[in-house]
Amino acid sequence: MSAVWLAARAAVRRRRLQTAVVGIVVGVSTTMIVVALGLLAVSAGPFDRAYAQQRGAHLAVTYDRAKVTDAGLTSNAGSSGVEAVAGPFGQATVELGAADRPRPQPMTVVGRTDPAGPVDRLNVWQGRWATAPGEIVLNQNPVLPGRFVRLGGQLTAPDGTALTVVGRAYSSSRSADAWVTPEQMTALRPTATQMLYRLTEADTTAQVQAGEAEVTRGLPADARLGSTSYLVLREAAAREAASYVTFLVAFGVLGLAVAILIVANVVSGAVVAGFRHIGVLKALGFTPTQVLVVYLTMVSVPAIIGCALGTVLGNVLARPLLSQAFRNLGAEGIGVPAWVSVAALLGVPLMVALSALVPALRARRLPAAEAISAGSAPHSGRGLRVQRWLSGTRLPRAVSLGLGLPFARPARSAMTMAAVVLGVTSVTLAIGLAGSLTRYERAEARTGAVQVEVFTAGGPDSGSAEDEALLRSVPGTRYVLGATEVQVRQVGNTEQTMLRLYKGDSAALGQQVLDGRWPSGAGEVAVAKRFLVQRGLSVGDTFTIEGARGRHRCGSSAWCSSTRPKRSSRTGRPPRLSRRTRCPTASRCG
Amino acid sequence: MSDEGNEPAVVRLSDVRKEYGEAVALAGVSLEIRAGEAVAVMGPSGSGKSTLLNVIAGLDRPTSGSVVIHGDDLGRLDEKGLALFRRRRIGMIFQFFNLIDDLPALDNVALAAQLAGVAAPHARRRALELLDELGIAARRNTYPAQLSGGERQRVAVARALMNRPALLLADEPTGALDSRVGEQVMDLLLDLNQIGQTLLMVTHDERLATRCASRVIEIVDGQVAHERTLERA
Repeated sequence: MSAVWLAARAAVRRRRLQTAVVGIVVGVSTTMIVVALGLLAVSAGPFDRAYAQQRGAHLAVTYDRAKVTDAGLTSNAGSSGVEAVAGPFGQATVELGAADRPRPQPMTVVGRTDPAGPVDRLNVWQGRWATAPGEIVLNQNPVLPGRFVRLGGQLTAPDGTALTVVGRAYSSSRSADAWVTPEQMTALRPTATQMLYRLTEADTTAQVQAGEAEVTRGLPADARLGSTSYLVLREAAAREAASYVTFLVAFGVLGLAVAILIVANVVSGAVVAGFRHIGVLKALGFTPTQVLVVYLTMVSVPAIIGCALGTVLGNVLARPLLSQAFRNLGAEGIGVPAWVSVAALLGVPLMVALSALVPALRARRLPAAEAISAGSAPHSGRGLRVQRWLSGTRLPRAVSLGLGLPFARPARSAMTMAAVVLGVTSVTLAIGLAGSLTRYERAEARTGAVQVEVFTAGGPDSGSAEDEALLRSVPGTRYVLGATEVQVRQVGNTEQTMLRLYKGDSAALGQQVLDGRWPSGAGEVAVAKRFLVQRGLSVGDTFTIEGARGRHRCGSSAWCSSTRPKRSSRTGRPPRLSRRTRCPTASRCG
Repeated sequence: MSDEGNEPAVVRLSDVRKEYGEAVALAGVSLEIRAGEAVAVMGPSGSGKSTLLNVIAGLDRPTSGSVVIHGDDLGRLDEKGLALFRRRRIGMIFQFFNLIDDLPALDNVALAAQLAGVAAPHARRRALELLDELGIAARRNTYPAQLSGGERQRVAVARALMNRPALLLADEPTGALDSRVGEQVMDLLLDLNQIGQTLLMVTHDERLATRCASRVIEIVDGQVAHERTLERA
């Protein structure tokens, strides 16, 4: 064992508390950095990988079968800018019921011969593909829980057609809820035709829109019912992680900055406290560089251990976060990329070593005689002058002495102050973030807006005028509104949305309208901003929704802050009005 | 004790001055110490004794004048050169021992040899021999905090002797010890000198000087004020 290592090991042992502080601070900072970098690194990666693997559709367009023929769509598919095309596939929205589901659920069913093809290659992860009429394959994410119909179970269409579930597949393009054979689709009487395109250029919304314009060129104006851009799916996939990656990165950077300052402070403290030790080492014959190495090693040992443990912990913590954040991709076993761990293992100790370098260099430069006589030699310099000046003031001696100390070691005082400032910043950010989230939750929960809820049996039409009049007659009642929820989807988009329909004093709910106005009549809807962004819509645009009762055209009159899209739970439960089942589209729709 | 008159000079100081700003610690000190000599430097507090020791040890540089130790002109050495010089030529004993608290006695002693490039097993073997000679081999695995003052100073002496230094410097070696233990350390230094170890000690202790030294140099206001040779039994 070398003398330097022997001395460094002894220094580590002697400063157990400092060693522990450095190790813990570096460990916690590394954990945060690994989690933040891991999330950041994979926030776009998994989607692109999964999408490329499945040759996901850049553009999925739903056409009205009454307006355009399959032959017309096929001839148009060869447009410039189209790399590959799949379709035409018959598409129908069918309310499929199951034995264990009290209410049928509308599902987008598409007729396809096989799961392969040039676009939207499906991952049949359980069972097999539908090969004969009477068979159906459900679109389901392999990592999401909840399988409402077991393999071999049956779904029943309104006309009594029984479909046996023979497999589960996953489409990263989310092109359908289920697939049947083309023959079976014909029997289900498709109302729309699905075309899936991969475009040569699809990096931006403008490029996708240009591609859409190209493939619909020459078709009847109202042939296109709706479309979905893969950029919307991509943005949606990354959004959940993005919402907290920013904060994690911010906390990670703050944590690292605080760690560096603490380490620099600890080492500079160790240098000051170890003046005599430095002197002894030099008297024994340690060269200045060896003294530097002793002090760097003294910090690096706990830093490396802390960093290694932090990297492991960061990987462990990031895994469930990543799975949670990207579960909608069907991406199983997403982990932190290896480069993140390598970067953390190399970068963090390097930063710590750099932060320790300044005080260690001071230890290196310190004259041996001065070091070994630490405490006995008279001080000089600015700190002394300030202390002398303070002692001449009327301040109590204890106060004047105390106030003078920071000036005796200005660099160290500045470092301590910076660490405190960053620490306070972190705490303020954390408290502010928690406060903001609490306010957001309150706003979303409409706390206090609805004081009494009365539940009635029945569906969307339940609750008569007599019921409303009765409620209004209750003493103390100011506002009465009726509400119910139905599941709908925008035509051309497979994602289901819960629509809440109001009648009565809905404006009294006090929803925060961020843009536009609250709906005032039939055919108007207020939606979450996310709803508009995902679909490329703006306030004032009109879109078509379809549900159990057919298609309706809606104009978006506003977007609200207190709503969020919620995917169908697929539990089969009837819509229920309660504060816990808030709806994303807070409006009424004709 | 060797015949000092024929021995080469181990320490040669020529007109050495050391100033700290306006304060003059050494004001033109010239002296020679020959191999095998035991010299005690005495004087009142603030007279420049410790500065003189630091300059000779290469821990501090003089403002002017030359310091030649065992043929090495310290003025020509850079910081690394001075460190190597201390490692090879100098052994130091301090008033408060200055052992490394988290190393057991054996490692404290072996550290000096390891620093000089001796492999750890050899260094530990030599350290054990020294501790044995100084009568504390049984305490080799004991940490400094668990040793008595005398034992600690013996460990410090062993560490100082580890690299067979040309010059053993002692700064108030009995200053922190009670009289009985101080006597033991004096005996130890005397024994070392009698086997040829050149010794320079700074002390306030007249008994230590008269008992161990062959020459006493008195420093007053940074200058050699008086020098006397002692006859030892």
